[in-house]
Amino acid sequence: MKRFCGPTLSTCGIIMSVWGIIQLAIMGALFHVRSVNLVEDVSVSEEDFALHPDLVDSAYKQQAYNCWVCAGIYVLLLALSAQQMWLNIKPKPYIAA
Amino acid sequence: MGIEVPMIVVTLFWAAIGGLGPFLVPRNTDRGLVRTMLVLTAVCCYMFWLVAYLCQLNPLFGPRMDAKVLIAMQREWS
Amino acid sequence: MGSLFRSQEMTLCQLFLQSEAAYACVSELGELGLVQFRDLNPDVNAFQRKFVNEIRRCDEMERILRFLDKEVRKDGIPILETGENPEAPQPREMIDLEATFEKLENEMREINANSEALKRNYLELTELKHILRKTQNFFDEMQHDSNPIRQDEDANLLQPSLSAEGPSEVHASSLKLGFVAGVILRERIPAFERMLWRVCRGNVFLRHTEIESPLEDPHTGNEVFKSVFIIFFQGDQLKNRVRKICEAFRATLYPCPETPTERREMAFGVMTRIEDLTTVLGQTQDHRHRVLVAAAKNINIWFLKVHKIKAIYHTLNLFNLDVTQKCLIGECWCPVVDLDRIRLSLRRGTELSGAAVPSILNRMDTAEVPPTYNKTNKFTSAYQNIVDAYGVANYREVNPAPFTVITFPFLFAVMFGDLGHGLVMAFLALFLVWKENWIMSRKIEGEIFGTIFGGRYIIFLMGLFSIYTGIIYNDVFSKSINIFGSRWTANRSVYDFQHHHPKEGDAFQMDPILDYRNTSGPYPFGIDPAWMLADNKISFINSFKMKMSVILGVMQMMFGIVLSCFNHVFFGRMINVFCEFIPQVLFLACLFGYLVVLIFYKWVNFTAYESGCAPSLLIGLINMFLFKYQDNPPNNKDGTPCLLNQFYSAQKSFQSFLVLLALFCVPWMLCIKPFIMYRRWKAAHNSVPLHNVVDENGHAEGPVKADHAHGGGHDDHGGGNGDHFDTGNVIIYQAIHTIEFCLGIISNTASYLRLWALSLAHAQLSEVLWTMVMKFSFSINGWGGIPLLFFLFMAWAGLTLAILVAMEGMSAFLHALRLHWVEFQNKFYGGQGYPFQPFSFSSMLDAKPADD
Repeated sequence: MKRFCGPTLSTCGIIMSVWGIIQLAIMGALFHVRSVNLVEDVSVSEEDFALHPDLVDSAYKQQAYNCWVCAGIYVLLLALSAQQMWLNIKPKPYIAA
Repeated sequence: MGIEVPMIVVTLFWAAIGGLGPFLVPRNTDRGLVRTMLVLTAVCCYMFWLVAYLCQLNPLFGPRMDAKVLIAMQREWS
Repeated sequence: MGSLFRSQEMTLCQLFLQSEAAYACVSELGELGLVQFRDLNPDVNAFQRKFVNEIRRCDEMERILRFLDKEVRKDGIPILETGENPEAPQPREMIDLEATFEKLENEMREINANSEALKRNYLELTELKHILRKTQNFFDEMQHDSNPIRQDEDANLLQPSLSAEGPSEVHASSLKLGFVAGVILRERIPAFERMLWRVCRGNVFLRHTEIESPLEDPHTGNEVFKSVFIIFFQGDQLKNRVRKICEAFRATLYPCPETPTERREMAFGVMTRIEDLTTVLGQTQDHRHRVLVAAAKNINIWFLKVHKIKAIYHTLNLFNLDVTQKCLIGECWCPVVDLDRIRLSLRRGTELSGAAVPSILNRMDTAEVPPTYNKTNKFTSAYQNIVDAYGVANYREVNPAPFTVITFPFLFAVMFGDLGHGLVMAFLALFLVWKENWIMSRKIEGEIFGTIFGGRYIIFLMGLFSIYTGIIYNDVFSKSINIFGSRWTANRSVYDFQHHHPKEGDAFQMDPILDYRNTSGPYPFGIDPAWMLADNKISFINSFKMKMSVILGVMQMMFGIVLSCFNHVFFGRMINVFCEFIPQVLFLACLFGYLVVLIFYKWVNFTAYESGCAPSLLIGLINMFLFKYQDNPPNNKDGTPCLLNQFYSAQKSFQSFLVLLALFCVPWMLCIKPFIMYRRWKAAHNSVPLHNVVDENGHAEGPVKADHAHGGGHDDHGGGNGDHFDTGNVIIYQAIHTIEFCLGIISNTASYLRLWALSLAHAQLSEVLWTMVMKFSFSINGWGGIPLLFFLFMAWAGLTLAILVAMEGMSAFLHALRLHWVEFQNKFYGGQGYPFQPFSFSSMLDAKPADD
């Protein structure tokens, strides 16, 4: 594949995607176990919270899957960035200035 | 777990680092520096923990929660 | 205590070097880098010193090397970076080097001159070739389509005047048209054309066409685009004008034969000459390349060698010649512990030069203050730089750097406390530490990166401490974690939401007695996660962080005062221990030390059962200064303000005692020391009236006294020297010192509240970022949330890095810096010394690239 981003951008991509993978995977797990700290982040109304626990559960589950899928996308981004990085650090032929 | 257990565990932990650590530092040129670092780390971190621990010992008022959070707390933490 | 606690003990030494051995010895000392030479001829002009000639030769060599370097870079030849560190060459080698350089330079200049001449030649020929080719086109075109036009013109315009002469004459006149051909820079064409038109009133005919391929300017080597032009005119007058205009526009004119056959012949000749030239040019270029490649291999080593030679002669210029001219005498500061190593390298230098008489190093006594030299390594140097940026320590006074190693990242982390941000910071710094050799070999430019890289160990520790404080604050990107189980439970019937449904915005305050599992003790490590979910989180966290700031601040200030005692004892100023250190400790302990005790007492002693009526710390403190107490402690039930409650029964008398003791410390600090100094001076004066080197301050050692004279008495001002006691001066100095301290204690304690403010700001900012960005990405309850989450996470992470880690980190760094420089160091640190700058090749060469 062709090189389309420079060393800085690919480094950024690597850092960002490593961070994304780790954090989104953990957050997915936290949503999965219905972490109380993330209760503010789940969009379910107060009333539903009291009356329809299944709604809350499904919302939590959905966010957990979203996080994991996103982490998966970041894995792809990581692979892409790593490949670009490799192209960047590969020794280039000597060009006379 | 009573009040004493974390107190003793954390105190012993930092006491070990600040009190015993300096004697275990290998003898080389930077021994003094490493000792200073160990003692200061132990003092700083222990004080920091102690302040956080003691300020919650006897809370004078309680947290005010949204109903949503309370329900979640009831379901998940009880 | 470690080597960093006080600066190295220094001594002034005298150095006797035999003339022949001097060069080798100084070279060895430069490799060692532990000796700071003093200029023994400060009043001698730089041009009158002994080794001016040698330095001039070095300058000449440097000039040649720079020239070669420029040529090498121009050809894009990679310069070999071996990282090799050659020894300084012997003086006789210098001649060889000079010869080599001179030969190289001459060769280079010759090649350059030749190749420039050749190139100019080549350019001219190429232009001529193009002219011939293009003009051929013009003429061809003319031949084809000139006849009808010409006849038209003739018919319309020339007919009336020329009709008498007949058509043959017309033909003849058209043949008489002269022309010049040449080459001009492409961008000048429009102006050139306009000028020709105006000057010749439209009587010339210009044709031009572009030369497609760029031509090389032989002088600068740049590529230029040019055009070929040909101008037709009639008559000599116009010809002159046209030529002048061409000259003015720097157009080059070339002879162009009129007949096609001549032109063809000429073109043929030109082609062969161009071919010949190309071969010659190629050979010249090859030769130049070979010479430069050979030079590029050695050029760095040569640079190093010349720099070293020059540095050695500069140093030798600082020396004195003795009367017999056989010996050079120098003076230098060197650390006492390294004297043996210095002697060893001196001996090696003597042996290398084969001198008969050994070099001699003598310790000297001096009244001057030695320089401050702290031995640092790559870990401690960054901290030492932080301290030195405020002021270089006085000679042998307590160096705050070893304490700063921990307290600085700790105070930073108190303000920056967040597990997530701490992890990010620690990992970034860990990467720099891990790859440090690779990064150093890359020599990445950039001031910001250089600063961050230099502070990588500090940043790493800051990250680690931020992780710890983040766990205590229970803050991970503004979220919290519940490891040990929250102590707050909502199990009472009030919270039975199955039966009374909550509305939007309903909030319930938990009761500290009924909802708190007090038997199991508080949350064992850090702040209870329930608080992090609460609406009134801020009021709890504020109370915690404010008290913590005061406690940490008082501890650090007390530590600073204790360090000042180390200084007093070390320098033998016992008077300062009794007249400054002890009252200072008492003053701080009675006011804010007591406050710290009260804070702990209040936490431990007052439970939620007497909740509304716990006495207020702040009002208690103010009333303590005002001696205002409630005579009959009000009953909790009767509605009197509980703020005025007492903490304990004997509070009134005890607090009054503390305040009075603190107040008593003020005159203690203010008066006793000047009084004792005066008494001592008088006693000494009376016993030995003419003895005028009395040591009023109880100074025990020579260097200390000198320090005193030098630094203008930073710490305790020597009032009278000798037979005159300047009472006013001493008292004013002491008064300033006392007032500064007493006010400083109060304002510095307040200043430590920045720990609270900054950590509050940091926590709030990260919470805002989460609710504004991250929370929004969970707002879609379905698979559509995935792309939203993907992009918003990236935005959130980028903002977290830029704002929370970088900017907030910078601000917390600066505040931690201020707390160390001002609040901590002003308790004990003089900072009036001057740094030890040894003569060292390695530091000199590191600094060199910055100068160029």
